[in-house]
Amino acid sequence: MEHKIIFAGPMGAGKTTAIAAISDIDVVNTESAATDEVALRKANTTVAMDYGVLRLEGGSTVHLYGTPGQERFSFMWDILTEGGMGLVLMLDQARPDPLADLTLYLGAFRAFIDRTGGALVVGVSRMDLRPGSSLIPIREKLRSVGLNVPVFEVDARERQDVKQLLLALLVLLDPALRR
Amino acid sequence: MSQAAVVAVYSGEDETFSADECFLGLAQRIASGNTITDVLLKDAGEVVIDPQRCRYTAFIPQPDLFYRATPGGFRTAPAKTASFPDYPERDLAELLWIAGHHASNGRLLAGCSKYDVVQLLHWPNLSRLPLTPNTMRLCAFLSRRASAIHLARKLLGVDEEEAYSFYSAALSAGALELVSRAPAQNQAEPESVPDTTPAATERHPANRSVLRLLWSKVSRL
Repeated sequence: MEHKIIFAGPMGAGKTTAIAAISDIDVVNTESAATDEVALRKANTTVAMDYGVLRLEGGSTVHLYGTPGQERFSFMWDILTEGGMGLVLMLDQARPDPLADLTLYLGAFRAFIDRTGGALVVGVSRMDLRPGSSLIPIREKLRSVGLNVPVFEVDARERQDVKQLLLALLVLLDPALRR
Repeated sequence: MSQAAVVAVYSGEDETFSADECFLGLAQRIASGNTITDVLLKDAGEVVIDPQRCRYTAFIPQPDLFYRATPGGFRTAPAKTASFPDYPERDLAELLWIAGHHASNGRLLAGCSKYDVVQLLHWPNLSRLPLTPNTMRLCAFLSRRASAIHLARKLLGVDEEEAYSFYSAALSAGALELVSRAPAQNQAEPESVPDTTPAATERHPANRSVLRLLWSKVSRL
């Protein structure tokens, strides 16, 4: 059986960085030079997927897939989530409307979230760039659609922050897990 | 300046503490008012609370000393702002969680019982809060069903002290909803509400071993 964890979210939210922070291999990505308005934010952007691996004792592996952030590549989202264990949704608090981003990705991935029994965690990056911002509106939006799931402030470059997201995802899948 | 530890009260079978005898009660009183307030405990730390915006800024080099000191030891004064260029401003609920966690030290808040039935209203920002080994497991469990804290800790195999610290912190921060208060001690344990959401491991038992291996791997990162 294939084991996959999916990282989704808008362009620049830190999906590639988060996977790189925890992967046992160098992240395989399909980045290309940005040529449109995206170039204002990033020199490169993911156009198909990012790929990393967590190698477990006993030889099994968990594949880490990062979906392309731009909506025009959304046809890839369903393909990548097939058979996935859960979803790590990365939001960028410095973007113009993070709640609109949340709404978009919840709509796109809702069937997948429901298939996994609600295995969704939300990481919110770059909160420091918007002083006074809060996680409360994101929690309230999630509650309004029936989701009481972890929402953590993260710096995607920090392995410990990504680790907390993954641990929360795992206890959602099975609260009996323990250290 | 008095910096005595919080006075413990022994009532019945579980040791409790009073929010009014430590920083937690002081912070709750400020939070329910309208005045931006600077709270200083010399050599232990300083907090500025903005109750209207539900924000705070803190510099607390001695957290145990600060959060467990009696209110008489603190100097409070009105302030103009809780925003300072070199210090991150954060949600007030996080301060209340931290204060409840430190003050509890494994005890229940006075008036609470291990038989209280509670449910998690929202996950706290656990990437920026003090974590004990089973905080996430208790959150996951109580986010999906209401349960007595006593029953939750028994089902999950969590020590009393850790469960009571979690209960005190989460209740202080407003992350837990009290569904029903235990009317008397030694009442029958309430039955847990069956989980209607099938866990991944129930649908795919083979996943459990992979999840355990993955948990072990990620925990060591």
